[in-house]
Amino acid sequence: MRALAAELARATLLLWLASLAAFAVVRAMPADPAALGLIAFGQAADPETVAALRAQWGLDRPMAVQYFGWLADFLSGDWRRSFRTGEPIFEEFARRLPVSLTVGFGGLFVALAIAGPLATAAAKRPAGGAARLLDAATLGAQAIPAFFAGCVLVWLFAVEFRVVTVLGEGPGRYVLPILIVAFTGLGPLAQVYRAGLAEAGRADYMRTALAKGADPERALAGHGGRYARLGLSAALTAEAGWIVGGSAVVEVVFGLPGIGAFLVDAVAMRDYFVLQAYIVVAAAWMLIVAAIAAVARRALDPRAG
Amino acid sequence: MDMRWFFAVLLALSPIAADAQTRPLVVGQSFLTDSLDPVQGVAGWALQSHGVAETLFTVDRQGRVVPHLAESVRRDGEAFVIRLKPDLKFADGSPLDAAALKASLERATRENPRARAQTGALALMALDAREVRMRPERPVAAIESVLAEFPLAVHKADGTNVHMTGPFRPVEFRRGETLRLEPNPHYRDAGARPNVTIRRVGDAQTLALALESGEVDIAFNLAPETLARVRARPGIGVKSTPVAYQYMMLFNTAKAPFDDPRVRRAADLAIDRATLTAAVNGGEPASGMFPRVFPFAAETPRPTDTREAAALLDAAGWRAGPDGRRSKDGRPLEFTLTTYPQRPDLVAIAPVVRAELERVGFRVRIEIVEAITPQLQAKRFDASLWAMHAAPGGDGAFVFEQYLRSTGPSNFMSFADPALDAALDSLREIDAAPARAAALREIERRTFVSAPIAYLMTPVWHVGLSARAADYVPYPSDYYVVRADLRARP
Repeated sequence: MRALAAELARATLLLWLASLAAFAVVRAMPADPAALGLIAFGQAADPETVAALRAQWGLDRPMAVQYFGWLADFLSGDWRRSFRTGEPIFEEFARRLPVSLTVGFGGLFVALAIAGPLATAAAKRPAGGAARLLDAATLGAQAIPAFFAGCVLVWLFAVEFRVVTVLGEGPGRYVLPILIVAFTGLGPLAQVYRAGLAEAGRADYMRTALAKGADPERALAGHGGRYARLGLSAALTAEAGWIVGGSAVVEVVFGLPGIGAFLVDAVAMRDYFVLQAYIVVAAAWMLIVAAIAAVARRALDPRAG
Repeated sequence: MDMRWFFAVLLALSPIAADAQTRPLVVGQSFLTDSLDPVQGVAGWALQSHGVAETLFTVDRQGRVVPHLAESVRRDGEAFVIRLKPDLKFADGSPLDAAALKASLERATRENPRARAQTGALALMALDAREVRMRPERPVAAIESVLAEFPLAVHKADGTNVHMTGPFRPVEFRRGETLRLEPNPHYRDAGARPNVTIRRVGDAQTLALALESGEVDIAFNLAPETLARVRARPGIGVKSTPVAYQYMMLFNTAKAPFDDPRVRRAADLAIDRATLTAAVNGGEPASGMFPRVFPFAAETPRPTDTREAAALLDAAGWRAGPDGRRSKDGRPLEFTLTTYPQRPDLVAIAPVVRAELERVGFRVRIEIVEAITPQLQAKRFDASLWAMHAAPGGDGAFVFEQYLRSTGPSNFMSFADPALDAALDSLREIDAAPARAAALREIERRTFVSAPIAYLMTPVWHVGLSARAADYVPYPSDYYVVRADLRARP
């Protein structure tokens, strides 16, 4: 119980620091959002109008007042309104977050489902077809931008074969974006899992198991799998950390209204409250992912603290 | 039995045929309103573009400011009297009369500081059923242009609903995704208009693919590199139109080498604009600040003269070496040309601009930045490509005031010319359109000499059209994409 309380206190402190950093970093960005918002739409950015917009958004107050005022509002659920859209940010996040999570988790799930069998087959036969396929997939994911891969998939399946739609509606619209995210995540996950299996294959306990007459494939899957999943959980943590906002390119290409696409516009227009909210939400998300990963590690390896 | 009848009946009964006859016309474009309330942010602009909102005056295809909801506006001392057209209605059927207009202007200026940008606060009074007297806080010369600006879009707030007067009205809105529209039944010829769905498509390649797959009827607008592929697809047409935007190169006059007007003039003269239009498959060489669509635009394209450019650089002390590259006191004549990906045309022309300038001895490095305006605001650039609407409200004074007045808020170039400021002061006193046009041309001529900006080209926009939307005629501006004349073929 005391450990849990300490963890909660640590998480609260980290989130507060994240909010402070978010405020400082966002305000340190060059350019004034009021002037930007006027110039971008061909309006007169004269000093009076800029000052009126800044006053409306509360940017004319002392920094400390701005920060604590925003923090109090944020904690009470009022995340303010976007400079760009004029709409409440909390509602925007609530609407967009499920889209990003569907794409991110869907991609991760598909990647994981393929990575396990592929890495196992590659570990068993390091010079075999599965190993070559895995290397090619890893290299491809690193070399081919998600944007390009997305366009090729859309052209092939939506324009030429007409089996999916480019801007479709309903669950079907997530198929291609999820495949793209899976494609980019597959390489790192499968490589880590394969490396774990290979390392386990050289371990003393594996030699002991084989000396006792265990089937090599079963021993690798059984003894080695547990060890390899530890490494996989670390790689998974890193990948899952980027789900909130990390799939901006895919969201833009497929016209999905997720957090990433919203952020692209927010950065360009210096939409302070959107960016601050995003940084805090992303920090909270990473803490959640790290907590889940810690639990998973303890389950896989009871020796872990 | 005649088999043709059989197939015709089968086709008519099939879901595909039914869908083709009843489905709305789908417009794919990169922007979609973020709100159905025109006073929120820049929603007024988007709603006007979507055919939902209207303004008292508008800019026609020839770039002229013409009455729209207003019948006229006349000066009354320091005030103006706006007279509405008769029998106007909001999309809910309620009348747009003087009282409603007063309420609309009051709400816009109260809720959105952008609406006060040109005029300051407005003192308003309804004189009778169709006339409103409006006294701006600040003096205004081109009042028609101010009344054509999107923050003053006419609307009626009714609880949580906001009603506007455009040819279409919203029926379903999914922010960031789609806006479904139906014809406004209180607008003339409502029965002739189809239902419309506007889809936000953020990526130009995706937009072309959606047009090819038949999911989009009007693709606004297509990237040049997709044109050949799209045109090759049966049943799809592309209409290209010059627009009211202008591409230009801004010089940072506070930094070497462009702190010397001779170097700026040389760069301006070195560029053959025809190479730029060739690079983006269309467009017109610029004649000045304004595209030819505007009545006050200069007529002669900007000249190219590499010999004169070389002479100017020689005079400025930048001597050519054996490799043709220039230097002065051991410093090479080099600079960074900044551009940004949100205007793909500019990325395409940047290497061409570099090649043109290197002919006369410049060394040019190209830099592509994600957020260009903050960089320009911070004056962190040598020269930058830039695209802008040259006269959003139809009045040419606006861009000079914003960009070239020494205290102009968008004077990224740090340019200062007291004579030009004085000419702009004089322009504020001129009401008559011909006199304003002459004054604008004179101001523009001054900028050809001092060259804080090299005017490059007027782009064309390429609008992809399905067979159902083949009658669509693009407007030379993204301020009016969905309009009253929109029709769908069966």
